[in-house]
Amino acid sequence: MASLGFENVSKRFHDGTLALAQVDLDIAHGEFMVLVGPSGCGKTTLLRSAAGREEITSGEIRLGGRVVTDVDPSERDVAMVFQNYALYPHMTVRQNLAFGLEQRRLPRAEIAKRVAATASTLGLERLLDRKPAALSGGQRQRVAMGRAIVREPACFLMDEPLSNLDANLRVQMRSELKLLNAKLGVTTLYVTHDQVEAMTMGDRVAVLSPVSHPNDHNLQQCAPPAELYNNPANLFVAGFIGSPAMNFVRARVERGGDGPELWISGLPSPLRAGARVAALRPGLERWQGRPVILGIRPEFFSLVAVGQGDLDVDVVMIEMTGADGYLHFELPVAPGPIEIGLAEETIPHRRQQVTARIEPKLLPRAGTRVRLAIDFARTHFFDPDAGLAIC
Amino acid sequence: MRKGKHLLRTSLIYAGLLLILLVFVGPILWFILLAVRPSETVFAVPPVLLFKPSPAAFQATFIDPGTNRHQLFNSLIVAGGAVLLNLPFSFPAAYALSRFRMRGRKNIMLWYLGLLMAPPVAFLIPYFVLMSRIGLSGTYLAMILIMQTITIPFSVWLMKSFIDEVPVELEEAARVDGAKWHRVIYRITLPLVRPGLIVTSMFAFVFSWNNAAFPLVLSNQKTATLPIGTLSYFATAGATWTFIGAAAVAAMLPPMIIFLVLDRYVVRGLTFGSIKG
Repeated sequence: MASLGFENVSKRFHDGTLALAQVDLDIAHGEFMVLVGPSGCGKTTLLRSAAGREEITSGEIRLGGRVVTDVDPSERDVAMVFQNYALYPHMTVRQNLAFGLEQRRLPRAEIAKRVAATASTLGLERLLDRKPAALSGGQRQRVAMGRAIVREPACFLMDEPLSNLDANLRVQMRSELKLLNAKLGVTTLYVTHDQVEAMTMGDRVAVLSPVSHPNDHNLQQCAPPAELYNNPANLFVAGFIGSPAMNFVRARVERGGDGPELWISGLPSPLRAGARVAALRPGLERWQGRPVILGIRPEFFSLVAVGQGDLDVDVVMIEMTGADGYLHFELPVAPGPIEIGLAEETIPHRRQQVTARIEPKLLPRAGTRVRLAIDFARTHFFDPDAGLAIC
Repeated sequence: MRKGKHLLRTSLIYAGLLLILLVFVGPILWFILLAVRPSETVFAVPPVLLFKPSPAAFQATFIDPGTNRHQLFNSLIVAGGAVLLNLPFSFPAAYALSRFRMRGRKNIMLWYLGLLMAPPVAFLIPYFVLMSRIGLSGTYLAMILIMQTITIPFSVWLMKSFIDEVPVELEEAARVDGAKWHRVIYRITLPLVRPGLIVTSMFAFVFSWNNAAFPLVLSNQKTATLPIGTLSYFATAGATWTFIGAAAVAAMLPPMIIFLVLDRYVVRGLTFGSIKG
């Protein structure tokens, strides 16, 4: 078991595409680190560079303190689980499990012992003489895991291993993987585009974004899941983590009698955030009279009676998923730079959709007018230019 | 009424298929009959359909005096040698073209295609001059080497298609598992492209076996192949048709046996890449 580190890693492909820029990431012994982000953010490239399957343009990769940047993949002591499993189709399960050990010239008795132990751990005993074509998706996934586990490597590298499974099996395998990792305690780097997977599996989650300039950074934030969810560092992380996504609303901050007032263009009166927000977000003081972006998660809204709460809205649409209900309404969009200075009546009418999570039994009908309260203590504020969180 | 129409349609289809079968199988049957019929009945008018078959032509050509016996072995040597030389060159070329990024890869593939399009007959004189100058004229090696000019381009094209179908992730998985590149090719890639190796070998064998143009200028009496032996029966005094039939049947047999035994690989090779799987 060893730690894994990336120091100032950059990667530009032959066609000029910049995949990684200045990635600094350290994964501790035994840690389960999840790389998450949209397509093209470089998470798979980073994983493949750790395996030695991609040559990095600059920077260093360390495994257990040893620099492995230029070390051949066959000598890095990492084990990889691929998205499509990459099981050797002409070999049986037993041969698939034994292959890596044979390459390391282990004695036959030792190979047989390890294969048997791994098969037992993963429930593969009855499948050892079958070929991959005769296995189900979940069984193939287990064999792919077994091929990695049997080698007792310093580090596991997993490239979206659950993405080819159906939804129910994915949930089941997620739990099994997590339990297995807890049992084995091997340093793991896990790539996924599914943020639910990231949040449920990772000890820490690294959110990556695509880059276009060498001075950019792929890594937006690396923190435990709860920290990412409750304290996103910037707009990108805030918008990526959480489902449904966080609502972003432009507003202007003004000083009010009882804490900050948030003026949303098009609304007749401001939202009163309250004194507690001023205490929780002292940085807001510097934003008096300036526009900010409010980040309001759907669960920060609640239905209240007339005369209470913060906002009157017309319900555009409702959705019911069983355990949760969602209410969609619209807010006016703040004018952009080209429109500031124009007379109010000449600004074109634009509205954005906002989602609120409401208890299913309280969901109103579409078309009705309701009153909502906003939990401003949990609401996030962002710099509209740099995108950084205002603390 | 509907049943009658269906029966008529089925009968017409089968009749058509039988006709097509006769067109393809007919010449083969004719040669077999040619080899076993008495020579005076070959071009008899009216045609003689009932006769006592005789192995005399086969005896004369392959046993006593056995004029074509050594030519049969020569054909086996040349075709077999062509296959053995083909694979060690075509597989690495195909692998490189499939797996490695290199400048001019597309041009190389087009060049191979160009080699396939050029008629071999156009190169007979240059090949003869070349082999004579380096002292290989009349040898098995000369024919085996020159056969590569038609077999390697085809083999590379076909083999590349098979290698393209092997997911790169399998080789990557093997590398990460600790295998060096040569072990990856030996344990992973080669077993998976075995059908491609078989079909490539089959086509290389058949191309070389059937080729008459190159042995015509590159062989001598000692190294002449079976197609040359068959041609020699067209003497100025007239052709010995039964001997031609016997030699032709013997020439047909090895490719036919190979294709019959390994037909599933041929189907896979011919249809490869036609459907995305």
